[in-house]
Amino acid sequence: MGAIYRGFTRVLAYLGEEVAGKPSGRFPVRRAFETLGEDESIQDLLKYRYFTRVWIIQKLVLPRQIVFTFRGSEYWVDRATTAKISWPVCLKASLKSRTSLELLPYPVAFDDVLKVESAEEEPSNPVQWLQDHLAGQSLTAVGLLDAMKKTWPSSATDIRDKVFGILGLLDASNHAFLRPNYAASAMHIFTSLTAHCILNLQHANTFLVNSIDIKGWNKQPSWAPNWTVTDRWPLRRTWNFPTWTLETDELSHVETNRHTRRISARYCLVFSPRYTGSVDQHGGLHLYLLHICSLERLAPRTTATPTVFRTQLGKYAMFLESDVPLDKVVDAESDHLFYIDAHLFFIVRKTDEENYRIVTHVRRVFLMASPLEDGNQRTGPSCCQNLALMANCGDCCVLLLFCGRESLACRVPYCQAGYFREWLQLLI
Amino acid sequence: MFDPWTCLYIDRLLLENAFRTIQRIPSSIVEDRLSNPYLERTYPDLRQRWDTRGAARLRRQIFPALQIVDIIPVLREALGVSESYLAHTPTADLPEHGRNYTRGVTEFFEAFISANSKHALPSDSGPKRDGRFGLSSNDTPSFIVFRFPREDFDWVQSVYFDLLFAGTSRDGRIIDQEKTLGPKPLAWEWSFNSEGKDFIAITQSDPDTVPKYRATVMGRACVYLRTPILEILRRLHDRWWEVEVLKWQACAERVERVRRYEEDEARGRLQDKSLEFPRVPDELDDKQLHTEVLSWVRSNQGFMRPRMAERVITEEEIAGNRRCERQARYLYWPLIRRVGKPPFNWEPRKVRIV
Repeated sequence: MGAIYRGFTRVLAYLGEEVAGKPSGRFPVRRAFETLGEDESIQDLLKYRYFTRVWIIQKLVLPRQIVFTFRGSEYWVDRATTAKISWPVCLKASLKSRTSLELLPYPVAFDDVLKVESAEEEPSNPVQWLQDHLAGQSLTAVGLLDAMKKTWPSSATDIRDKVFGILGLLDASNHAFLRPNYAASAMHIFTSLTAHCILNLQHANTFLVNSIDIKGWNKQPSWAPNWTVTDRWPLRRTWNFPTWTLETDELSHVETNRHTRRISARYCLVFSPRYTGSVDQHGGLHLYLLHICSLERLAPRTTATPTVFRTQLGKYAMFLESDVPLDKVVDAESDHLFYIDAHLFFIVRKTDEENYRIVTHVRRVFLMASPLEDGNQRTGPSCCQNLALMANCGDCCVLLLFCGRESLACRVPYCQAGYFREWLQLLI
Repeated sequence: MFDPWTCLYIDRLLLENAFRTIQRIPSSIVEDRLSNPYLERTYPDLRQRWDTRGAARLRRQIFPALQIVDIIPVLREALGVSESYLAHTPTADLPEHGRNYTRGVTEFFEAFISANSKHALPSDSGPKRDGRFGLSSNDTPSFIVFRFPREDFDWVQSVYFDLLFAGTSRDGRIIDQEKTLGPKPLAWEWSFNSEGKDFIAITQSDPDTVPKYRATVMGRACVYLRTPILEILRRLHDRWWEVEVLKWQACAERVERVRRYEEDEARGRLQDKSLEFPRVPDELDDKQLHTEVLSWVRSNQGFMRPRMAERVITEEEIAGNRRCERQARYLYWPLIRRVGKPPFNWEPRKVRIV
C-alpha cells in the first residue's frame, strides 16, 4: 500500500456530501489549504472521524498533494502550503472545547504539546500526525517507534492496525522484522515489537520502565508495556534524572551537578549498553542482568515522591529511590534487585525456579556502609573499609568504588572530580 | 598450587591456542612461517587447519604480537629455570622489533621445550647483541593470557561475547567487523591447559585494526585498544580486580628498575627504594615461596595504589611483608590492585523474564 500511495501525484479526499457540500454542477473552486477560512474552518474539517483512522494516514502522507473537498470547494495541500497554515490559532479554542475523543479530535499544536508537557498527561491528539505532516515534519523519515507515537491516538478497529497501518510510511529497514500478518495475535505482534526494540534497538530502559504493572501479569509478559491502552502512548514514562536531594541521616546530600554530569558522560564509554539476550517462543525474555541482591523489608525514608527507601544488604545500607511505594509492593521473600547495562535498576519477582517477573523499576540505588556498624556516625563512609556506590547520574550509570585506606571520598557528595578523573584514566 | 583467583597471572601462551587464533593468515605468509622445522614437526596438520584469509597479519603482527608482559615469572614458574637463565631480561637494547625473530623464536622454543615439554612459549624474542637469547617487546601487549577455573567457562564466554558485541552500530546492529573493519579487534581462544584444570584464554588486541574500529564506534561502545582487556580482567579476577595493563614502555621501565635494583643490591647500595620488596629467605623452595607470596598478596588485599605505573612503593606499604622480594614482582602485583569485594557478584546472570 505504501508503494502505491507513494506513487500518486494527488489524492482526493472526499468525505461525503455532509463535508464536501452538494454538487453544484460546476467544477469546484480550487484553493490552497491556507485559505481555508480561519481556525474555525480548519477545526470543522479536522473534527471528522475520518481523520482519526489509522489507515488513512499513509493515504494522506505519502502522495505529493492532498485535495480536500470541503463545503463546495477543493483545498489542496502540499509542502509548499504548509508553512502558511496558522495552526497555533486554533489551539486554545480546541483545547477548551474538547469534549470526547470520538467526536472531537482536539488539535493541539505541536509546540504547545511540548509546553503542556507532563509525561503522564500528554494529550492524545488523533490528528497530530497530520498537523506535523502539514507543518513539514516528515512521518516517513522517523523510526518505527516515533511514527507509532505520533499516530498512536489514531483509532483502528483492530489494534494490530496501529502497527500495520503505518508500516507503509517507513523505510523497510525500520521494520524488516515485522510483516503484516493477521494470523498472528495482537499479543504476538506487540511482544515481538517490544523484544525487537529491547534487544536490537537497545531501548531496554524505555520499555522496561514502562512495563506493565502487577495487575496485568496474567495478560501479557511482564516486561512488555501495556499496548492495549489506546488512548495514550504506552511508553509515556520517560527516563529522566532530575537533580535531587536525598534527605537521610546517613546520606545527607547527593546531587548531580553540572560538573558531575560532564564527568559521567565520559564514563559512559565504559558503561555503555551491551546487554544481550533473546526471546523464546513462549514469550520469555532472556537477559544478562547483574543481580544486586534479594530484597528484604524496605522502609521509606522520605515522604516526597519519588520516595527513598532503605534496606540492608549485609553490612551495607542500601537506598532505593522509586516512584511507587516499594514498602507495599515489594515481596520480601521473592523479590530481587537487578541491574541491566541500560543504566536501569529494577525489581523482579521470582515466580518459580527459573522465571522472574518485573515488578517495577528503581530510579537510583545507593549503597553505603552503615555508619552504625563502623562506630563512627559522623564521618560515615570515610571509615568503612570498602564502599560501593551505584547511581544513575544524568544518562548514565556511575559506579564508584571506595577503599577506606585511601579515603578517596569521605563524605557525600561523592562525586569528586579528581577521583573520577583518576578512575577514568585507569579505565579508558 | 597456583590460585587463579588470587592473582592475575599472565600465563604461558600455548602455541596451540596461538595458532588457532591466528589461523586466518594467508598462505604465502603461512608458507614462509611454516617452513620452520619446529612447527612442521610439532604441528603436522597446521597447514590443513590454516585458513588462507587474513593477509599480512602474520608478518606484521602475529609473531611480533606474541608478546607477554614480563615473561620472567612465567618462565620461572613454568620451568623452574635458574636465575642465570632469567638474566635474559628484556631491556631496551634488544634487537629491533621482529628482527631475526624467526630464528629467535625457534631457538626459544627449542630451549623451552627441552626444559619443559608440556608448555611452549612463543615470543617475538630474538638474539641479543651478545648472542644470547633474549625476550623483547616494545609495544602494548597484544596478547594477554590468563586462566580461570573450568566451572567459570560459561561465564567467561558470556563476558567475551558481551565485549565482542559491544561494537554495535547506532541502530543496535552488530557491526560486521569482517566486512567493514577488517579483522576483529578482539580475538579470543581458549582451551584447557596441560594440566586440564584451568582454561587458558587468549585475548588479542590488534593495534593496527583497533584504531579503525575505535574510530567507527567510539562514543558508542567500550571497545578501545586496552579497554577490552581491562574489562575482561576486571571482570575475571574475582570480579573485583582492577587491573592496569601497562604499556610496554612502562613495563620496560619497571624491568629496567628491577635490573638496576639488582645491580645496586649486588653492590650493596640500594638507591631505588621503589623496588625494595619484602625479602624471602633463600632457603625456601618454590612451593614455599609461592605460598608465601600468596599469603602476602592476600594480606594486602586492601592495598590500593592510585597510579601503579608511576607511583613509588613506600616502605610503609610493604611493612610487615618483607619476605617476598623476588616473588612479589613475579606475581604482577604492580599490575593489579584490589579494592575489596562488593556485597554482590559482579557477574551477569542470565534471567528469564516472563
